[in-house]
Amino acid sequence: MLRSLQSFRYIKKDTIIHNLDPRSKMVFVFLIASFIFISNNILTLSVILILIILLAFIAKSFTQLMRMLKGILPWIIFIFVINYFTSQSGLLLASIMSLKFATLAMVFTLFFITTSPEDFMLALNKLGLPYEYTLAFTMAMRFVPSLARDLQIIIDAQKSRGLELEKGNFIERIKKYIPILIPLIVYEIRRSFMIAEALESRAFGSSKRTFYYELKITKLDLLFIILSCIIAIILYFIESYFRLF
Amino acid sequence: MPKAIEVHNLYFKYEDSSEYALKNINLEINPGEKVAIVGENGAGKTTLIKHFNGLLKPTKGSVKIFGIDTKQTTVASLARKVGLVFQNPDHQFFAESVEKEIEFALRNFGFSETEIKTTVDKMLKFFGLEKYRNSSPFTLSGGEKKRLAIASVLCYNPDIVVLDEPTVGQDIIQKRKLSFLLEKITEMNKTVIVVSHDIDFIAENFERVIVMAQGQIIADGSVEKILTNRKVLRQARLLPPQVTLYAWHLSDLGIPENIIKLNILLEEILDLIKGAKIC
Repeated sequence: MLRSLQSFRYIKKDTIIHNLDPRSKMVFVFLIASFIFISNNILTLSVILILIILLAFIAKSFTQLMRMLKGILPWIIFIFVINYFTSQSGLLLASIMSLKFATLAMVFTLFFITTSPEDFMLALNKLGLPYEYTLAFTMAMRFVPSLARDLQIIIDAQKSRGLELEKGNFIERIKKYIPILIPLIVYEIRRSFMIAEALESRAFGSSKRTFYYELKITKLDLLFIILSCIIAIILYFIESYFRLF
Repeated sequence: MPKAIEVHNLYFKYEDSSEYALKNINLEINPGEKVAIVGENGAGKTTLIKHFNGLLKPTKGSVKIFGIDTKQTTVASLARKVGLVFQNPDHQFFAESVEKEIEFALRNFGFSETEIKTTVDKMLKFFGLEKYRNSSPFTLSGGEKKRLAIASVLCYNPDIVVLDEPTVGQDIIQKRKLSFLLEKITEMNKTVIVVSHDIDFIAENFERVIVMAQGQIIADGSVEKILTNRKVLRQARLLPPQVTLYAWHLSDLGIPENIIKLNILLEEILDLIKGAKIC
């Protein structure tokens, strides 16, 4: 569980993708995600898949992306099976739907593993979202790893007192999660109060805040945005004129 | 008679890490022994004790508890022999009352209703928590929570009791209660292992200490020998006990440097004063 959560975490690396402005990456994600949503062409989706893999290589994050994919593999299989048995076009639709899900997850994961939460917060702020909301969002993201760590400690502590999560029928096993969920919820609520106090102690919300670090759109960002638009046009042509089936 | 704990060439690596968290650990602890494990943050102390009840299994090497290899058995069956008390009691409390919190482990290990009742009564009395029997564990003070966490493990009578940082956040009164408690547990002929940063607490309450640094055991021996060894302390980034520091400052006057207990230091100083008077 800890490992699959780790695969969504931002890891600082010095690559072109990591150094891009989050806003230019957002343009790319928006365009690609739109195509994933509207496309019913397996060729378009395959091109998108190759493109994401290529970008993951450039961002030196291929292994992390694959780890995420491994984590969501049961869901991809689930989507494939459901579509295969419920639709008339069977195999093709099942492949398209599971490919859509996988590429969508991959493009968003690639964005989050190459964009620091601080940069993302600044970008949202620049796009007009109030600071309180962006802070809440980035803090939620930041606490995923510590939440996973707390969960692991609680599981270990209860196992040490003889709790066997794997034993018993379905209902019994669900009941066994009570000694894990209660300490986790109580602990995290207490922590959220402590964080609120710490924020207030540091004059949170006292006046309009300024930022030490400002985001800047560079030439490289402009190039990336233009490239994203060209990719979008190419994808549009593939979607409209090239079909395998 | 098999050793309580036997560790042979233990190497351990976390799944998401490329480096070993534990390297070539060799260790033997006899039944009834009282041992402290010290070391700086990240030295591998908690990782090591998690091997004792099978929460972690060796990447290489072996860990045996009373002769049983931890790789061959489950956490639940090992936990029955090795009681592990975690550092933060808030990571384990969930029951609606103190009484039910103690009952949890007893029910997991299949104790009968009569046994549960008598054990809970005994534990509440022993740990001075009788008046909180029906209170929520979350309403207890820091010291009481710690005692309840220990009670909730000690209740099922494990042969080995492992405590992770029991003195963290505890005032002097609570620490004294803890010392008394450790004494009582040892009297019951149980093996006690404590992981701690509190050098003074260790110096006063333990005979044997194991020092860890960077995933390895760098020293293992009597507290007098280890906690007064400048080289070991420097390597493990530890300060000597306060009593030892005083002894070091007074060494020019003829006080031995390997003193860790207050009463011995006082005796030495008194002897010195008496000697000075005679001269």
